[in-house]
Amino acid sequence: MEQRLRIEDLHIGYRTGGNTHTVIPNLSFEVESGTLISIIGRNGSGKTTLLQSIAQLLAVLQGKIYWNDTDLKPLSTQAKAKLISYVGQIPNIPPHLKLQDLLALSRNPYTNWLGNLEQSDRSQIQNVADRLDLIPWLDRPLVELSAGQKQRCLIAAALVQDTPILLLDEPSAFLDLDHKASIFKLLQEIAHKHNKIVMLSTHDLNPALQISDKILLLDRGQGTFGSVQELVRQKIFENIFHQKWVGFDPDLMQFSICV
Amino acid sequence: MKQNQYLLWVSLLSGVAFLGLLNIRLGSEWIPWVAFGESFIDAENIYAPILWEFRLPKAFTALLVGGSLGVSGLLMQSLFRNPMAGPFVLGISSGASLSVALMLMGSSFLGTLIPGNFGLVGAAFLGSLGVFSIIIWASQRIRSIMSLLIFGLMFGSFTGALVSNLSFFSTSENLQRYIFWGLGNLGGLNSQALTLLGLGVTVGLLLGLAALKGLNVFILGETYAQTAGVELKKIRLLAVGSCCLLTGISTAFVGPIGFVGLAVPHICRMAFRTVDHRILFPACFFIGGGLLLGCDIIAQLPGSNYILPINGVTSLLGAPVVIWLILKQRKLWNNV
Repeated sequence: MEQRLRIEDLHIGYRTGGNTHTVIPNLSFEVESGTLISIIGRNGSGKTTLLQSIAQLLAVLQGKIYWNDTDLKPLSTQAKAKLISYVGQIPNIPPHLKLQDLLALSRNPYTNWLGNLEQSDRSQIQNVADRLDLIPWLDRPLVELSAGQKQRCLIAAALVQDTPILLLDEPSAFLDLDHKASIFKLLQEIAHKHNKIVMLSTHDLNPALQISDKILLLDRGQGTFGSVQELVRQKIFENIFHQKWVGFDPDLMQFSICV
Repeated sequence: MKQNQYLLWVSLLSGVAFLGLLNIRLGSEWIPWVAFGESFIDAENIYAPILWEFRLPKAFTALLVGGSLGVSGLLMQSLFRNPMAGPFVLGISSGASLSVALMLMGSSFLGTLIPGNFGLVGAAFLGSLGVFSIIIWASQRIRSIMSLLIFGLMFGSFTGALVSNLSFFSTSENLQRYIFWGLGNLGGLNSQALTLLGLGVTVGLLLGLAALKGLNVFILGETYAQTAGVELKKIRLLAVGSCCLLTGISTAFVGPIGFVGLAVPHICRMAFRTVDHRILFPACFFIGGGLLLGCDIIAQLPGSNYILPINGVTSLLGAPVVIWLILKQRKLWNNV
């Protein structure tokens, strides 16, 4: 059975004190498992706000988020953590924390009150580490790894958390082209081979158009959702950025800087 | 690696036991080994009253209070993700001090707030509870960790100023009582008080235990912890409740003991080379307890007739540790 994430009439933004600042009003879309979705848009267009709202880190202003037919909002933190994993910015990592410790912590929703690992937890960790070629790093402190390697480890942690939905906030930021490519490839594999919903925000537009099954474009408080081809046909990419600086070639499906 | 940890635990526990025995034997009168052993079984032994009424309660107090402060410091450093956090720095002890000062010296114009034998204890506990609530309230509004520390320090100066003003108008007798309380005193707990201390510490430790799993995930930041299924509010409440109880009850019974809470978690992290609270929690308890037993031995100035106040010794030893930590700060910010 296909499983789906359904966003219904969602209003996202921030409440501070008595003031409500709506970033995007009225967003609706639906994704099935096995899909890689890229959220693109200018700085401040609401990419992170949307991801954090879906991850339940930020209270939504209005509207509902459903997993199949279950409303996510009333679920316990633990139940949510079994459905959605979130990879944000690379956190400040303590010096003694090894990759295996990080992966063990990611089993948090499944472990007992002390966080002790069962056999099933261990095999899950082992499987993910094996799949992502991380076995040789398991015993290494995370601080010793490069940004690209850390990102890979955080994705591994999200996989260890074993959720049908993976949300990633700019997973390709600060990485060189090599690492960007390997991270995108890995995420595509996770979506397609492991039949998960992978939703990421990114400023790497060309790779995003290349690998994504769906694109969610956020622009001036509006969300446009569809496949890359659909959005190209709507001639929507041409207008995101200032045409004096950035051009879009619909045949190559590529953005380029105007010089 | 695992082998290494067992070795550490064995040496830590035997170290604490050794310090405990040494602490019990030492004092104005050095109890010989044979008499020491006999006193445990023979109530008629001349050393038995000293042992049962003074030395043992004092050693237990040192172990419980040192352990409580060590654990308290660990919980606070993890909760605030700040290596400089501790009962002393964040002003919890100041809160207790203010409360005790109000009780001892403010009675002339406030009337006696809490009468009875446990007045001091209750006042100190309420004081630390009050400050901790303020800190938690502030920590939810002030995002920056540095601001929160400044908040704690400012609160410390504020209470210090209030205490100064109170003492200016106080009778010399009450002032002396307050100063002696502030110097710390591990002795003088009767069995009733010791039971209450033990009970409070047990409840505090249990609350802390319930927060361990969440705190382990917490070290990677709130966002990560929340999406990994940690109920932040619950963990915060458990950790805060535990700290408050442990620090509050310790300060209440023996006065504000400086530096143990700040230094012990760092010693533990360095010794065990881990950030796993399942290891650090018991380690902090025993290293904290051992440290205070050791400080108490030094405070007896073996071979002399003088006894130093316990707070004088912990601060003397602790201040260089804190300076050393500040000098290593670059590495330290990642340490929690």
